[in-house]
Amino acid sequence: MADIVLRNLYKRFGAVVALHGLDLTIGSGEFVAFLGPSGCGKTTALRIVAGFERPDGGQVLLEGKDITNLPANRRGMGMVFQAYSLFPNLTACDNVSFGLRVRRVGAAERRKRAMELLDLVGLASAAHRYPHQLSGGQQQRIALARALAIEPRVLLLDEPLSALDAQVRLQLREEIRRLQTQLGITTMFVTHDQEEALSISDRVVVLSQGQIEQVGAPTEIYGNPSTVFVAQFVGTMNRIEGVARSGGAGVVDAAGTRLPAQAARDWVGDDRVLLLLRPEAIEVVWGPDGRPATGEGLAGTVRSQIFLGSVTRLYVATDVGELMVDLGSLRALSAPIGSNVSLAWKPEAPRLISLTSRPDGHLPSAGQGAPALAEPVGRR
Amino acid sequence: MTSGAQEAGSALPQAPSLPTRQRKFSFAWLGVLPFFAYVATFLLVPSIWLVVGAFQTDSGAFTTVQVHTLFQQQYLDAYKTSIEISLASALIGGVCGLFVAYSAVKEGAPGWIRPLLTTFSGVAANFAGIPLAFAWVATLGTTGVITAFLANHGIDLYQHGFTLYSFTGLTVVYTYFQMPLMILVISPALDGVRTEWREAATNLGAGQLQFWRYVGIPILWPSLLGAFVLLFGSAFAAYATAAALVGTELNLVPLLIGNVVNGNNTSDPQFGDALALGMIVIIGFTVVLNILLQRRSDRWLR
Amino acid sequence: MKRSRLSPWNILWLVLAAVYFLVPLYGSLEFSLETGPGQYGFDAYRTILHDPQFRNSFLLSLRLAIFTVIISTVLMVPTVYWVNLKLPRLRRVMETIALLPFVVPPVVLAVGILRLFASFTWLLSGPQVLVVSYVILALPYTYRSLDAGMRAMDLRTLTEAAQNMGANWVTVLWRIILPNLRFAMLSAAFLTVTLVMGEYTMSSLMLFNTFAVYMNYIGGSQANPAAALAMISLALTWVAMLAILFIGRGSNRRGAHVVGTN
Repeated sequence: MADIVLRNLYKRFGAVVALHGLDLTIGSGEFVAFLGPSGCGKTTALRIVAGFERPDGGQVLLEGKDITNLPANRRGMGMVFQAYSLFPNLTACDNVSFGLRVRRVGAAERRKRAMELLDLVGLASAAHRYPHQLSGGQQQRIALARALAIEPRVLLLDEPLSALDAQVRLQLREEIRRLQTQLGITTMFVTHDQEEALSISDRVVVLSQGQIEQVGAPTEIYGNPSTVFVAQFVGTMNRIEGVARSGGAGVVDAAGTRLPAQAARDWVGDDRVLLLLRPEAIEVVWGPDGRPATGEGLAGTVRSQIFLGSVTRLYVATDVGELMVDLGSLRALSAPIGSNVSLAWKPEAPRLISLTSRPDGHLPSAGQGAPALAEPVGRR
Repeated sequence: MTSGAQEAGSALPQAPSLPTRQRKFSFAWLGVLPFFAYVATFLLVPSIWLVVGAFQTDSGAFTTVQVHTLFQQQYLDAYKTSIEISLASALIGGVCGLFVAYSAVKEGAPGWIRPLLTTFSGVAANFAGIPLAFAWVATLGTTGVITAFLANHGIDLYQHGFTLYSFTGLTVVYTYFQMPLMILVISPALDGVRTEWREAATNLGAGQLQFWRYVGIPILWPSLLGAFVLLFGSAFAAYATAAALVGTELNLVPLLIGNVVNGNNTSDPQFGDALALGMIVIIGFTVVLNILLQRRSDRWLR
Repeated sequence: MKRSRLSPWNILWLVLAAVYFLVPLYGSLEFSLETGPGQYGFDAYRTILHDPQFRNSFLLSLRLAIFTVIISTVLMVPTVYWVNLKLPRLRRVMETIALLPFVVPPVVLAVGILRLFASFTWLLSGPQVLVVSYVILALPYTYRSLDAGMRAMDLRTLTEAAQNMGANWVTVLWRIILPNLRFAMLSAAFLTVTLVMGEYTMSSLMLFNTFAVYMNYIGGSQANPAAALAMISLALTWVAMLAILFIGRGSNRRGAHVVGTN
């Protein structure tokens, strides 16, 4: 399988700069997700790799060879589009074998291979149906089979699940990952859905406005966002503005309250910071009678509750703002709307992002250093 | 009418769906009656009259004499010539129009080309008839601008046997409105050929020709054929341009019909009916074909 | 976003199209300005504009056009309204009817009408027979225009809201539907006018001196003035086309469907 190197990719469309010098290495067999909001450049990057766009600057290397100017139909990559990409006049089987037919593979061989792949995606029974007779999920599976039929060196997926129903989306994303692991194909997966990206990739590249915000394993991205953007885009975060002082005792001052934060322990200089805390990291202090205890921790009043299934999200008004707290739904019954609660968290839980040191919000503290380099990590 | 509705409402306040279903329906039917009566009077009945007249003698008895006369050599020739001109101009205009339309509809084309082309095509398609004939006389006639230009450079068109007032000349003139007509008709269909298909095909290794061969043409052919058929019918029915350019020199069906009407041809009026019947049959056939093909293409290009 | 670029093949065809479109226009322009070998002037135009026949035939065609538009509108707007609102099953029928004038082209229609109404002298005695026929000829274009316009409005909601406030159907049509249909009606009107101004077949067969008939008559004897007439006609078509485009843009619609007759 192939490794891909994106070197200083630059692309503009008229006055809009879609990519600002992108650098990334994707290892052989790696599953990398490109995550970001609309217009961040993720699809542009994918299309450049596929050959449908020419970059205005930079290079694309495949297995060490420069393919920047290689025509799209000679790159040996398989691509799955968001929707409607199956040829409507061909059956599922003919669609899948299209790439083989173009390569002048004999009819019998083509059919055999196509049926194998249809089997792989569980749609052998639909071989003779036309796209308009198939559901969205089935169509995308066929599209996947079609892309795999040519034994591509790289698999490219452009938001393949965005147009599907929630249920189908879940099933299909598992299947895509399963297949990819089984076949070991280097894969680039573009999506705007962070849950998708985090659940199935080896590494996630978070993009915003044509630049990489952070690259890392899903746990890294989720647990240790290195910029304000990533913190906001991935998962839900409580954000509290405050001040971290030098020689501090590991607290952040916010609105007259002192909030525990291990990360502020060895702070240098006085800085305005953003304290980030996941809803699931905040705990309600319970008294011996099973009701919320008051007096310790951050005081607050429950303003509203949102039932999310196994978890209930509480919106608690405090002196430092409204905080989201996730509790198991059974427990949440003991903290109804209007009740006074105390909130606490482990000192290691909060992340701090300095709001004064650098405009792009890159975090210098907690020994994290510069954003993780764009190096591949081993397969999960 | 409204008082009737109010009566049905009686004590209840006027609500939109209050009148009984039947009353609502008769209301609307009444509203469309004038239109249908008009169309019946001035389109359907005259046409039926013609069709019936083709099978009648002066005194109204049934006969197939007139229709039989149609099959005389000179008239068959007229149909043949008409069909040939229509085919030729439809083919040339169609193919050229297709390539031009494709070039403008393609995603890489600058944004201003498509609206410009649509406008020009609209004008050109409307420019048919008499003005078109004279514009071409001015261009390729015996003293036309292009004729003179070529003559000054040593090529004497008319010496070489070309004349605007002939089959070839008329075909050239007809193509002038066939091409824009094709552009207008085929552009929406071309729009329907999704970029995803092209890109998917390219991604799988196909070149331009392969894409068109395996995917593009199979999807487009109903629209292409339907458009071609429309062009054919359009040329077949053309009267004005032909009258202005070739008058009595060419044997064309519309002209023949005209001749019966204005007395140049002193056959029975029933013969004119027969000629018209022949025309209706041929064009009717093309229209039906066009509808069927349209349905076929809608399936894939929606 | 630009995907592919125009290939030389594409550019070639676009250029060819441009040449093909423009050459006859250039030809007639030059021809219309020729007064003698190598000399240019507006003589041809002057001849035309001073010819009383020009004015008569032009005005006749214009009058016919206006009447055709009026009758067309009065006939079609309520019909399209009712079909869209209450009689959706008739839509297929309407679309078929809108295709019939192609099957029964002007030549044939002329014959049919002349034969059927041969004894109705009051119809055939004056150009009213042309107006009557033109309404039919313009049918495909007026129907499509009006239908598209109606479909773009939420007819049902508008009607029910108006009725809810006590309006009867006349008021609904007049005060609610028509104002919203302005653009479609104008578009249909311009298409009709273009059609009528250039119509030759029926007017010549029925022996009326309309603009196109006049043009043909001139063309038979004077080539330069004929070219001048062609240019005038072209200019008018352009104006009509731009008007339609302008109206179309004003109503946020993407381009008008314009197809002519010959």
